[in-house]
Amino acid sequence: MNPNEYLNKCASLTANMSLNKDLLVQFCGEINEAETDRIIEEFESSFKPDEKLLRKRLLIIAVEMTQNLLRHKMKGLPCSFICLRSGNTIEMISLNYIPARLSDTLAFHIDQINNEVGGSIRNLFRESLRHAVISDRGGAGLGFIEMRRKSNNPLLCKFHPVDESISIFELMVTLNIQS
Amino acid sequence: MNLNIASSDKTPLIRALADEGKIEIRGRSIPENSLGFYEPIFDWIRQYAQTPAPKTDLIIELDYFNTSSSKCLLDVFRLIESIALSGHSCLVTWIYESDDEDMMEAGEDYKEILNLPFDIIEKK
Repeated sequence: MNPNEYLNKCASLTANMSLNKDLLVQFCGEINEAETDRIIEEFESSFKPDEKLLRKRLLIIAVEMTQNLLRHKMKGLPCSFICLRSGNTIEMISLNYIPARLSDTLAFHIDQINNEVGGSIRNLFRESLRHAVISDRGGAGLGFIEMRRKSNNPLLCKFHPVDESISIFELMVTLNIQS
Repeated sequence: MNLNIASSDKTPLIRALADEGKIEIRGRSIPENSLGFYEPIFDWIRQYAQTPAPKTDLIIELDYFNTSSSKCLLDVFRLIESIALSGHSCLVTWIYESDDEDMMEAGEDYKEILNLPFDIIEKK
């Protein structure tokens, strides 16, 4: 899939996912720091003043997702981020190219995090924080745990192979407002 | 030898007063390059640790922060911990907004990890 095909796929995915839902934020293209700032600004402004705590919790997840897109972007290739709202459910979805060889490791890591529930996610976060190291790309290796913890839902991921060396990583984080 | 860094949309206000032994971090902390932002603070505390005030107060009042900042905050706490271990009085005050469970829990996480006097205070 070339970048143009990818952009078309993003557009069609967004159209399908957003049926009967409010589209709060949509980005598709080559990401940079200015774009992550714009996404977060747009995201913040899409909540009502009385949703302050909800907005903060969602912002933490959105910041982790968009900064992951920025840190792990593949040169010259686009990525996307959308946020949808339907009643009491918020969905945040990111799509980005990754080296195909990382798919299994990533899937295993997310699966392990998803298997943690309740207090054990918190313990996992504490233990991971205790031993965290900032990587060359600027991450601390805590983002997925934080997304799982704050959303209180398993992280959903899919890998769409493009060719032997590249896959598209799709990540969906869902948050039920009453939780 | 004081340190003043104004807040921005993505970084907190930093105010460090050596004579008073007071360090404040307030606002939101979501920079892409957390290490780049916090490095001057690490440097300041390392220098301050050579002749610290009789009592060091670290006050944290954050709206929210990203996970790379959470690691940098832990490093700030570790530096204060080393001042405490050398026999000086140190206190961390973690202030969170009323009803903000996430920030309260974040304070509890650090309190659990650290070996430092650590007050968690709800701001009314």
